[in-house]
Amino acid sequence: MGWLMDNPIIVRELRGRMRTNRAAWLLFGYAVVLAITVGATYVSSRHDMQLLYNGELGATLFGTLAMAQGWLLCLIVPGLASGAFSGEREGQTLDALFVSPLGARALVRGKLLAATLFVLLLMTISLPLVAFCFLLGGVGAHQLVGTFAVQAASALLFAAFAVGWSLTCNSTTQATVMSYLTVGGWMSFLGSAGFQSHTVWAALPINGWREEYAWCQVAGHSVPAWLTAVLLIGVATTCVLDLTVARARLVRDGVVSMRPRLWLAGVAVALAACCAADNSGSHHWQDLCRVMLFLGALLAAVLTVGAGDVDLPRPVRWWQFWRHDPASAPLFVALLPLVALLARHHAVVTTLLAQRPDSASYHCAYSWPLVANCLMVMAAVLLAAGLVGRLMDHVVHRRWAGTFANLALLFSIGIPLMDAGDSTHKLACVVSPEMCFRGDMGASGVLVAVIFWLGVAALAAWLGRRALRPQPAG
Amino acid sequence: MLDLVNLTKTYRDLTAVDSLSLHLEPGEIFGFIGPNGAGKTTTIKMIATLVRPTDGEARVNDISVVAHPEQVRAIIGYMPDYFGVYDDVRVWEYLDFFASAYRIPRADRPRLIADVLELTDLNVKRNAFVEELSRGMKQRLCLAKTLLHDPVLLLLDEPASGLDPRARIEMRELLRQLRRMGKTIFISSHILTELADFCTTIGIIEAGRLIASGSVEEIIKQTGLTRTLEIRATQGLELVETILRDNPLVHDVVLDSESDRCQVSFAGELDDVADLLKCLLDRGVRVVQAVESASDLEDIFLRVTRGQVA
Repeated sequence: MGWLMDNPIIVRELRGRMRTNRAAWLLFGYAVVLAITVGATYVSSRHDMQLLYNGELGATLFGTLAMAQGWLLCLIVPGLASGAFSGEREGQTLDALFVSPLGARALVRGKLLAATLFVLLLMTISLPLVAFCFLLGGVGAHQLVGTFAVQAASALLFAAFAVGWSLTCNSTTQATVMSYLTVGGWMSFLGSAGFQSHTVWAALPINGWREEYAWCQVAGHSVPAWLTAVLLIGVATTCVLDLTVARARLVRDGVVSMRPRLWLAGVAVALAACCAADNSGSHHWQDLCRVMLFLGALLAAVLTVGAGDVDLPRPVRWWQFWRHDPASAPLFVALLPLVALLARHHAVVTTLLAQRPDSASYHCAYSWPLVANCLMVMAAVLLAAGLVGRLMDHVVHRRWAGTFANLALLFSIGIPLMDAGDSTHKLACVVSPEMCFRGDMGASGVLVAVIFWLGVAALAAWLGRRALRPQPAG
Repeated sequence: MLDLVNLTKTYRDLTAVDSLSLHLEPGEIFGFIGPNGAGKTTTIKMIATLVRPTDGEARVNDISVVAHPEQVRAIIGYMPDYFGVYDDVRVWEYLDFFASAYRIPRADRPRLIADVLELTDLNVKRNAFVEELSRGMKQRLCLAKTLLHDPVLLLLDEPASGLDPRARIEMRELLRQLRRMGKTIFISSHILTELADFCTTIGIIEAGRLIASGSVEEIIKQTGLTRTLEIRATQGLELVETILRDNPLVHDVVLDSESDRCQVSFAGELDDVADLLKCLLDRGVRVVQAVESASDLEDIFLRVTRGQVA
């Protein structure tokens, strides 16, 4: 524990937090909500002979407890951590913190762990209720450990989201709203993609342990799904944290190196490998692409949120994506799908061909020309997203306008991705680069998509340059 | 100790600091004067590594603030103009937090905290919550925090702003004590009389440009300005006027017969003032008082600047 106490931020935050009445009320409220939930479930289920006969009453209660705790974490963690840096900014203490020799990594780690340690305390409060479920039977130790591990990892991820937003947003209110939206997005993603993969399903913090989703196959071995889920959440947390550290360096020193982004590309490879290893259930490789594209959209939103603190000269901000500017995010994000696609192509050849009855058509559908098509459309889309965001930023003089423009564009890609499976219209690939993988889309559809998005980018660039032109005096 | 070479900061179309060059020796107390919006805070923030210069260079102890900000942070103490404090901690906990942030060994912290509390006269408030302190005490606490790691350069941005007269005097006394301790101090203020008798050198900034720097004497010499002397004699004011007007360094003389005083605009240096007074005494004038007007710095400031902001 010594290393924890060596970080002054953790000590100060915990000291300050535990002194307030708010902390005591939060602990009390948390325990009451969980107790009421478990109590109500027990009262309604105790006469259910089926449950009693099968010895599943404890498991039912534990499932309810896990779900309630998961939802409470979704509600509490963003609220706890979203004021981490924005609160310092509002309280005019950020300068004193930034001028100290504490590194950006120590600052972010301190804020993150201070919030997470309090959440762990909250989770500890639920242990007596867990013991009650344990006594009733039907709950195994591995189930308990798995559920708490996933929830603790999720709490860390949610805190990372919130700390990242608190560094990016000017006010705590904005940071809180964005944190809840991001947590909501993460939960929606896991919920929608969870049916395809045991790992993704197990990563949902509201799921108790379930036998049918308990295991996944890694390199021919059965591995507990909660373990791979914790790994998945850990990778996502690491990505978000590294971006947050990069953002902290940008705000404090005005410089961001490319190192975190290259590092993240490596993480993307690991993620792809992790997904590739999980070939249980009825999943197919479109899910992997969806995972990567969704993460890409999130990363793009974080990275392109504006370079207001950098104060780079305007012309540089428009086109020099690569020079220590978060606007280079589109290029970085393009790396992620590339990695995903490489992994996908490799896996199609090595794994899926051997397993799927329609392997020949699969091979055809996922051949390299189609991968190249997808990359072209993705690049055009991201270029358009970056430039439209910048345009909005300049025209409206609100960084948020740029952010929302980006989000709108990115979700216009992401949402059709989720439901595009049955669509065969060629224009569909205009909004959904993933559609380019379909063998029946043809080159014309890809061409339409690239031209459309490059047109959007060119229009945004032209309007941006016009807006930047000096206005005649008087 | 501190070298600024063509330091420039632009915010899009606005040049906040324009090619500012400066050199400070160890132990020097530099008063940075300028109207609101002149670029004082931006300059100090650039030295404090909080704002990245658009161009030029700033070096503290020959360490570049751009290339090695983390090394610079360890040797400077920065007190911002507007600052907040953590209200939910006690005074010693607040100082302990920053001592830990500055990597001061745990064993050394109690002694250091006691020392800075003694220096800032906050010993009695050691266990009080920070939120219970007055504005002046918070200001001193902030200064105490700034001194914890024994910085070689202190950057104080308007340290006395928002204080009542008593707190202002206390702060001034504290700064004098720091000067006696041999600290190098870069202090900004727009209240000129605060700095007049305190700084070894001053710099005047307007619209982002350093328009004059050096000691008060040097600036008077550089800019061709006059100093104002107030001479009181018990009799013979007409003779005094005659003698004064004969001196080529005297630009103007204004008599006030009712109070036996005259205001003299004098272009000479301190030795010339002594010669002038000796001349008066030699000619039999009974000089009761001869003082240099305290508003000299204000006069310099008003004459040098043109009321522009960056």
